[in-house]
Amino acid sequence: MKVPACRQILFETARRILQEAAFAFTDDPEDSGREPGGAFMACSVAFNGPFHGAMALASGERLASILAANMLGVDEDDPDADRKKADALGEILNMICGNALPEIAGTRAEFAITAPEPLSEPQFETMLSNVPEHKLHTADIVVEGFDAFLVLILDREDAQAL
Amino acid sequence: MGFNILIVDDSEIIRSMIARTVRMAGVPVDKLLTAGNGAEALQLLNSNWVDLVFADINMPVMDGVQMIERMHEHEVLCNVPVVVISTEGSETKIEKLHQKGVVAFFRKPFTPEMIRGAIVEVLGEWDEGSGLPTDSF
Repeated sequence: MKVPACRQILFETARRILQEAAFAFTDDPEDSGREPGGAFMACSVAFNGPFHGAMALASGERLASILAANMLGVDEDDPDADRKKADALGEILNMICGNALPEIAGTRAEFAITAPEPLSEPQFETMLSNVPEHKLHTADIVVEGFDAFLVLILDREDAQAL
Repeated sequence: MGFNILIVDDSEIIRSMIARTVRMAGVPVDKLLTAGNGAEALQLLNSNWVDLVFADINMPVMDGVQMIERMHEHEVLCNVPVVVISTEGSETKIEKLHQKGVVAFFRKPFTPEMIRGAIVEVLGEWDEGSGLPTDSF
């Protein structure tokens, strides 16, 4: 699949999932003001099927906090707030991955997707730096005024031809 | 009086979201049980009457497909309807799940209308006031 098409699928799928699952709305990155996002948070899932790879989502904790609040009604005073923010980010990623793969590989292609795993900032950066450019597809998303970064790694040479 | 509903998902956030959606949908609930995988779900099914199961597919220890297969081997549990709510929704997988007796499949994200619709389809309408099935009036 060509890079612009893949990026568009990532962006459109993320936009829909964020809206439907977390009532969070995306803005045009070109003309929206950005707010400081707080501490770095990221998570990843791996998938295996007609091709394999991984998807990762990074944001600041303020966006994760909004997602958790909208998905579960979690407040900052909740003693489990940190874990629930990470869970919310992970589940949003899981849903984006599950909904984007059929757009990329077709609706009959079966994939197994692993449970979301948290990533530290160095782990996230290492993951990006270790992937050849032609396997890496990314989308910058502004959600509720905060930056988020979605990454898809298609780990098979002929995935480019999809 | 209400339904006993079992929610099976390894994600606590998804279990909570489904539970909240069931309540928002106005479903009369007696017991809302939750399990983190298929094995935990089977234990609950063996010790509680359950009217409907909402289950994920990919879970550690025992996945949703294994759980459904084990339910089908059981003379009572084989009659408990299962609705699958999963992130993975290939047509091939949905066909296989229907062959295994799954009554409905939803891909996440889900809406209260989907959950309510599945419950109405499987368990029938209920009276909003009493929670009794409408065909009992």
